Amino acid sequence: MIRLKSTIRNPQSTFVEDKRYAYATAYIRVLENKLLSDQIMSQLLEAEDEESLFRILQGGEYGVGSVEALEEKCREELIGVISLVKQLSLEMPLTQLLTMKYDFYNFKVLLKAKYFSKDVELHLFDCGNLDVKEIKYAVTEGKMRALPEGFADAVRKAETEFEKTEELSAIDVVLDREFVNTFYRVSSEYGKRFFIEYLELFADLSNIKIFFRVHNQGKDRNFLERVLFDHGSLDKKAFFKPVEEFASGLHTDFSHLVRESLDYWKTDGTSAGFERLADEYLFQFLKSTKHIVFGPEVLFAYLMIKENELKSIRTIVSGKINGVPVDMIRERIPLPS
Amino acid sequence: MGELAIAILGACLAVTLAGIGSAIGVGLAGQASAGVMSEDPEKFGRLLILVGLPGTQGIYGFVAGFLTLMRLGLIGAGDKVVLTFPQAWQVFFACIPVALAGLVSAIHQGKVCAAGVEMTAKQPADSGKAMVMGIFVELYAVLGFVITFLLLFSIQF
Repeated sequence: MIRLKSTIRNPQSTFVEDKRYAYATAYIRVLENKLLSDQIMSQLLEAEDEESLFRILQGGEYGVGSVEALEEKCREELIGVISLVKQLSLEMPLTQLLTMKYDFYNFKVLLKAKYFSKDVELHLFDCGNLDVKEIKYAVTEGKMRALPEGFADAVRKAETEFEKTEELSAIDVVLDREFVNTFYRVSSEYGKRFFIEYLELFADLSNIKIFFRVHNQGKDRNFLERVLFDHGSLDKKAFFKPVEEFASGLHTDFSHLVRESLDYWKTDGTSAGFERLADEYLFQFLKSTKHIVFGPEVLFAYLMIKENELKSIRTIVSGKINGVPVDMIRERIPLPS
Repeated sequence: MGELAIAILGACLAVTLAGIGSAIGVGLAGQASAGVMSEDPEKFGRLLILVGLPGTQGIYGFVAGFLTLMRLGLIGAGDKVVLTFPQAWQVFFACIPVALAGLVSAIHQGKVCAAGVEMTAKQPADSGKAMVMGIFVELYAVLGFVITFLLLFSIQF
C-alpha cells in the first residue's frame, strides 16, 4: 500500500496572508478576469476551419491573422507576463521560483546547441532570473564559475551524463531533475508552505506520468530510477511494481486519477489520459489561491495558469490546422477550471 | 495639573489609536484598489467607498477627542474644568472604547475592504455586497464611539 509521507494537500489551511502583496494580488485578480474561458477553448476546439479559429480569437489578446503571428504573439504574451510577475515580486526567492523554469529551459537549449553547433538565439527566453548573455557565455565557453551556485553543478551534471550516454534526452532528464531539486531548495528556504506543497504534488504527478511512459517504452528499472524526481511524497519503491499493482496500492488524494486513466492506458497504450487528469488536478491546486486575499502564491498560480492558456491555444491552433482529430487535441488540453 | 494630564491622555489615545487603525485599514484597501486600477482605471468609482470605509474610525476617534477637550473646557467658550483624581480617570476610561474598538475594527475592516476590492475586480456587479461586508465591521467601531460619547456626557464635574 502506497501512502503519502505527509498528509498535506489542503492549501487553504496553509495560506498565511502577506499584506505586502495587497497591490500585486489585486492586480492579478483583474488579469485573471481576462483569461480565456473554457467556453472559448471549446469553441476553438470545435472551429471548422482556420478562418473560424482566428475569428474566435479576434477581439481578445490573441487577435492575429496567421499561425506565425499567433506564435509570436504567444511568445510576447509569455515574456510580458513573466516580466510583470517579476516586477510584482517583492522577494528574491519568489522571483527565483517564478523564473527558474525559464533559466533551466535556456540551459537545455544552450547545452544542446553546444553539442550540435547550432545558433539558438531565437529559441532562448530572455525572461529568466539569469542574464541570457551571461549563461550563454558560461555554457559555450565552459566558464561555469560565472553561474550562481547550484546552476553550475546542474550544467556540469548534464554535460557528464550526455558524454556518458551520448543521448540528447540525458540533458533534459538531468536538468529537469535539477530544476525540481533547485525549486525544492529555494521554496524550503523561502518557507511558504504553498510552494513546497506544489513542488511535492508536481513531483508525484510527474513521477506517475514517467512511470506510465517508461512502462509503455518497456525500459528497465535502472532507467526508471534515473529519471524519477526526488521530493515527491510517494515512496520511489512503489514505482517498481507492475502498473495494475501500483494503481490498486495507491492511497493518496489523487489515486482516483490513476485508476480512472488505467482503462485508457490499457486500450490506448499511452499515458495521455493520466497526463491531462494530472495537469487538471495540479491546476485545481493552483486555483485554490483564489482564497488568498494577499499573498505571493497568487502571482505564481497566475503565471502557471497563463502559461497553460498560451500552450493550449498553440496546441489547438496547430492541431486544427494540421487536421488532428478534436478528441486527440482535447486530451492534450488541461482545462484549469 | 496631573489630573488634567490623565484626562488629556485619554483624548490623545482616542485620536491616535483609532487614527492608526484607520491609516492601516485605508492603506490596505488603498493598495488593493491601486492594484485593480493599474489595469482597470474605470473601476475608480466602485472602489472609492471601499477604500474610504476604514477611514471612519479615525473620524470617530477625532470627534471623541474633540468632545473630551470640550468637556474639559480646553476649547470653546466655557471655563476650564478643575478635575479631581477620580474624575480624571473617568474621562480617561471613557475614551478607551472608541480608541480600542477603532484600532482593531479599522484594521480588520481594511482587510475586508481589500478583499471586497478584489471581489469587485472579478465581479464588478457585486461591489455592493463587498460594501455590506465592510459595514458589518463598522458596527463595532460605532458601538465603541456611542459608549465613549455616553460616558463622556455622564461624568459629573
